[in-house]
Amino acid sequence: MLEWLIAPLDYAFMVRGILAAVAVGILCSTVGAFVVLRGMTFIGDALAHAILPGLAVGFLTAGEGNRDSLFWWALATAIVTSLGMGWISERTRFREDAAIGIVFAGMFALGIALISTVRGFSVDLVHFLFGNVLGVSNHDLVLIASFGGTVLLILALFYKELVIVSFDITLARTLRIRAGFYRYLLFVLIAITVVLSLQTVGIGLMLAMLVTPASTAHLLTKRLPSMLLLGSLLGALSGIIGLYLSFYFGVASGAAIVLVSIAFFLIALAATTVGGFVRRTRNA
Amino acid sequence: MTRPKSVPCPTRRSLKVWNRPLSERVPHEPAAAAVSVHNLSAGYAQVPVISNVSFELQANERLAVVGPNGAGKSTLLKALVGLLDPMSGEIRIHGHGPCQHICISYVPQRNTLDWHFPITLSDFVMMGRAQRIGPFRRARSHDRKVVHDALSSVELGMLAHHQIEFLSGGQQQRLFIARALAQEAELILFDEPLVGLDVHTHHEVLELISTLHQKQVTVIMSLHDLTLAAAHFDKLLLLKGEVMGFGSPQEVLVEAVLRKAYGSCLHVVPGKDGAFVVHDTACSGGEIPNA
Repeated sequence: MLEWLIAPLDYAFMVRGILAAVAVGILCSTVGAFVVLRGMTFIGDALAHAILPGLAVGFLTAGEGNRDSLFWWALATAIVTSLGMGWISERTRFREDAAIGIVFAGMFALGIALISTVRGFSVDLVHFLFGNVLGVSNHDLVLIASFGGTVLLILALFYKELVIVSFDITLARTLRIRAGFYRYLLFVLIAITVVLSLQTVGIGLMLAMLVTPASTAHLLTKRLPSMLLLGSLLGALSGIIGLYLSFYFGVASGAAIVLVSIAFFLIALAATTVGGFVRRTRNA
Repeated sequence: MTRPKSVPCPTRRSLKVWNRPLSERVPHEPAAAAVSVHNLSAGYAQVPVISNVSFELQANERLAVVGPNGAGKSTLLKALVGLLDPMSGEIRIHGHGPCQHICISYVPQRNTLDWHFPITLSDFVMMGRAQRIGPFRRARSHDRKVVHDALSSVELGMLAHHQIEFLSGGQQQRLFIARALAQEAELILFDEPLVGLDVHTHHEVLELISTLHQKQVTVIMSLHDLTLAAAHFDKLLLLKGEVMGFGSPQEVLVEAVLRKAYGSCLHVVPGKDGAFVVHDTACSGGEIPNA
């Protein structure tokens, strides 16, 4: 058993992959807690898809070998898109979900149009679409650690205000807390998280990593700090177990990580449902 | 719980960009009324819901805002707390604009919050102290004591570490009051707090609100029940887009005034101990029951 656990660690790409998956799992579940509690699930999915034109432009301007360029283009696109979604929903009479839908669809279509102009097949671009955590370089790890650390630090610094804005916007406004500022801040933090997680799970499965560990933790805990800690643990565990499954069974790494996190969710759902049934039966 | 006799309202100058500590404070205008509204018009999408509303309220008074559905009760409260910009007219709270204060607490209708949010009663009440704690800071022992005292004063101290989703409607209203106390609010606005509560809980909540009087808190509440309004409040403001009547219950609850606001179906019958009982004859087949 021990050998089974240690064997993959002989490969440097596996060690880098596990570190990236753990970091992304913690980051996604922490930011995801606010996404879940604020009912912003659609935004997470929309942002993941809306960065496609950024990736395409990065690829067209810098070529296949320059992964750095892809990262920066994706980051810039994600931040601009997140601010654009916020601006449209705030300044027009559209509902927020309609504004997000319009930006999401428009950007994704633009991305597909740009990609269709590229001759040949781009491996890098496909990695961003479906994720390939085993291709993470040392430089990618540094980016994930520095930007991810910054996101977590900002969440910690503004925790009190972000919780109030998420729970009771009216209280925030009567306390003269700048609700708009914190709303945009959360959008930008989600955008950065999405870009950092791209290589781990890809655009297609990004939403699952944002939402699933946080939702599982929400089922099992009744306090926000516990939800954040448990969500981080589940996110990190999903990353590690998913990578081992990927290594031994030849499953796509991103899909394996997401499937493990979904399995955790189903177990928690079953446990809380059965627990609730037993309690009701005892009390009856 | 004890609270300072006069907590000055901090100005917006000390709340720049993302809520700096409330170190700069401007005292209330000593001669100013607690609430002064002059020719206020407010509404949504350039359509006024209330027009030319004027009234004054002194500190520690209790005002019930009454009127039929759509009369503009909630609109008035939102304008008073600074959630809605006036289209015209002026609102002064202790001599300053509403947005220059954090000592105003607004209690929205209960169904506007997600009661499954993973926080405890203690966390909920602590939110009221966010500005007094200041940015980048955690609650200190003084803040925790204020929260504990506030919860105890509404008899929820035993549930401080329970999750908020298990509270009854009456307990939720008491929790809002605890949060306002922890905020050290000097003016509390309640938007129809009795909706969805049973009759017993109506009285429980109103009795608790009466105790705010002893803590030198000015209270404004919108509600529908004119009899309860007359029994528990110093003044009534009868609204129907504009002010139909303002003053003591004796001055406002007269049939000529009620007829203007509600039509002809309401009749005032003197009750015991000088109380008022308002009967809706449309609901009782046109006959006025004996008081």
